[in-house]
Amino acid sequence: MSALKINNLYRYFGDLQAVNGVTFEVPHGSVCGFVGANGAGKTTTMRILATLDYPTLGSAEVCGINVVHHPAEVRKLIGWMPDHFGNYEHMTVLEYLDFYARALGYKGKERRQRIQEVMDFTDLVPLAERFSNKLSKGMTQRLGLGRALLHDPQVLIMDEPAAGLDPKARVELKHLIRVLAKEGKTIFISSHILSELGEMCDSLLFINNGRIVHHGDSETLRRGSDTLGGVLYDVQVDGKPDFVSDWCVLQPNVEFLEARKQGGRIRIDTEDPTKAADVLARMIKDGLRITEFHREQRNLEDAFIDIIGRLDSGKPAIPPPLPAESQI
Amino acid sequence: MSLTHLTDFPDKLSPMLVKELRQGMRARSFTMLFLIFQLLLGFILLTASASSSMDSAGSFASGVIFTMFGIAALFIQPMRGVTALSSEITGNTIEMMALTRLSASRIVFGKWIAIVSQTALILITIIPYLILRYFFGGMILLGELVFLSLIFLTSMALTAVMVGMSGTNAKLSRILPVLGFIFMLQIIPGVLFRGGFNNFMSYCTLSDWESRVGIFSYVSFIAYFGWCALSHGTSVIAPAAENHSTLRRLIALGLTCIAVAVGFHPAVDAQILPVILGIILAPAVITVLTEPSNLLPPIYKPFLKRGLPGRVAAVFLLPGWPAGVFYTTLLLAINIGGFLAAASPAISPTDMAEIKIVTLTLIGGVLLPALLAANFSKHESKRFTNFLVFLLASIILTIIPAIFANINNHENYLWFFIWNPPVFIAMMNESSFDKNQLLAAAMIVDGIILTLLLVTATIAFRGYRGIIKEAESGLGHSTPAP
Repeated sequence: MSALKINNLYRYFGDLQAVNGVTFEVPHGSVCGFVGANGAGKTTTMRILATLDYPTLGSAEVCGINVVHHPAEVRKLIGWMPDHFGNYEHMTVLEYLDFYARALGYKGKERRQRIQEVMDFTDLVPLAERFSNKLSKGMTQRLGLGRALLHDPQVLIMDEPAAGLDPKARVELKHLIRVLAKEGKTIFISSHILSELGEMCDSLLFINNGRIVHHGDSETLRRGSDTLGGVLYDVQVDGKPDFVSDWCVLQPNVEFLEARKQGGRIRIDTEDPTKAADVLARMIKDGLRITEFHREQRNLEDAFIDIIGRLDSGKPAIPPPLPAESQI
Repeated sequence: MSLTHLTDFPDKLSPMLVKELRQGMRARSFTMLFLIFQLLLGFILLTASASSSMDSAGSFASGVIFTMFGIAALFIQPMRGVTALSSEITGNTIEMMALTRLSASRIVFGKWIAIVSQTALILITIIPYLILRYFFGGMILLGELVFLSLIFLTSMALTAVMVGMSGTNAKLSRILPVLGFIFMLQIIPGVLFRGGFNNFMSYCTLSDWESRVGIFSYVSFIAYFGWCALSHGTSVIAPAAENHSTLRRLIALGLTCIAVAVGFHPAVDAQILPVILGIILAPAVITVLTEPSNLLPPIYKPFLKRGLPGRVAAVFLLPGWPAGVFYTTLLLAINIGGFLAAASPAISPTDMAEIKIVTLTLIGGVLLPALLAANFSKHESKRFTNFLVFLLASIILTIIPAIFANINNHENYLWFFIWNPPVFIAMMNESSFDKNQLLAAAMIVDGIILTLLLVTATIAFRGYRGIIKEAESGLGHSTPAP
């Protein structure tokens, strides 16, 4: 059974189709990044999973429980951390957590113990007596995470938790998420900072105009081709770097992109690895003394842009996989 | 870090109450009110005791105490509820609470109780001043205690109204009660200082049957009104999959049936019956006619499970204004039918015509804004605000033509405005209009408005078909809870 399962989910706000037939699953104990431009449907999908909104059509389940039919059961399983949330006036950090612990049904010693654990984990102890509305953004996010963890949920849904954080706070948050992932919690997290998601997540979901356009691990994305199906290679030679650019001019399927210290960056217009092998063989045959020839990994931002570009040009988001025999 | 002060409130107390008390006791609005209240009371009472004779000082002291407490309890404290729910909604904290075990009703009632308990604290602190006032002499002890209790109960109801209304995304709905309070403030000193105080104290001694029934009725009315307001606030903040409307409708329906049944008793004044029915009807009808219509399958399921009777009941009891229109029609039919059967024989034909015109005016006065809100509300959340705006416009469009007709002595000019039912009240006060003619016109206008409203509701109700189908298909096949 998956921790999160969404099947053919639609959500309309009047004429606006915020979520448009989304289907995906997130296995237990994994960290899944949810990526999309503003207005792509991320927050709406997450809010439906958190039982804060409802689908126009389709179903959403958390640990096999339908979010519409059994919202109270689902709420026990999830911790929700929105992109921004208000804090209360005249209420300290300790009282803030105490209020939510009481509201979650904790009593007496167990309540105090749970608050202590959460404050230790999120490093809120030094801030215990500070008013909750006087905290910095990073502290507020830690408080929000602490609140979301009070009832020790199985699934953590985090909407843009790193938005507006300074680098130090971002590193701290990333560390906390890693620890939670190690504890076996399922984490469903959205962010604009794809490089960070790539480091943390087992899988990435790309959403565009309310539709899922990619679901896979970050490694596949990094090794994928660009919009036109081309792949980038870094070529280093022993000798003049210009040799590479000069050689590329005469080649029909190879494009020289930029010069580097001992060679350059080239683009081969197919993802087929045998073609890359052919290019390498031709280079050697033509007298280039190759010291390095390796496929470049794209960063996730490029991968995301490429996928959106493919869709805009009417191609499938991810090119069909190559036949097994053509792979090296 | 010390967690010991987290035991300052026992676990048995509602988390919402604990939170509100922690915040509220630190809020400047409360501490300032509390201190200023004590200082003013102390100063005025000392001045009064020094400058007046003992007899007049006692009466003056009571007036001061009740005025001060009246202002604090009936104006300042309820006003603290103006943003009770809206601050949670705009601060994006209501959703955090929705994910806990706190139900929408516990949130709303917690907010209300927190303010009421602070009012109670103020009430307790005036006891020393009342004891001091006792020594001035001339105190009607029972009367003053009952009066004090009435102020407190009224404060509870007004706080409930403010808290309930604060969830509505409408500044107008928050301004209207403020205007009401300002109006009330002009009345209180008049009652307390211009001779009305002693009469009112005598009434509050509950010495006769009439005063007991009167005060009991008043307390029942404000309790019902306060509950309606809190229940409305609960509906506003509750998740869409929760149904708070059906219970509210059933209670109003039950109360209406009881009131009609009581109306048949010979001891009941027939002319009072429409007033009682109106008091029960008004909050129920205004609420149901302005409810958002975003229905979800889980809400329809309990009705489906009850077979055909459930499906029929759903037409009247489903949350949302479309079913609200059918429910209102049912309630009006019971009210009018019950009133005509119970009270007609006891009322003279002239009085009866006037009662009928007033009743139809009030009904039409609510149905017309509801019709306009049903057709011209783009956003579900604005329906209540739009209703208030149309209601206000309707009243203004009654007052202006009435003044104009009076100034120019052209009463017949008011016939152009009969599409706006409140105009009938203005016309009824003019001797030149035939009452039976007015009655017939009011019936036609109300009939047209109700028909249009029913057509609009029927069309909107048909929009539920997809949801009803989804609920039907999911019946018995939904994912079981663990």
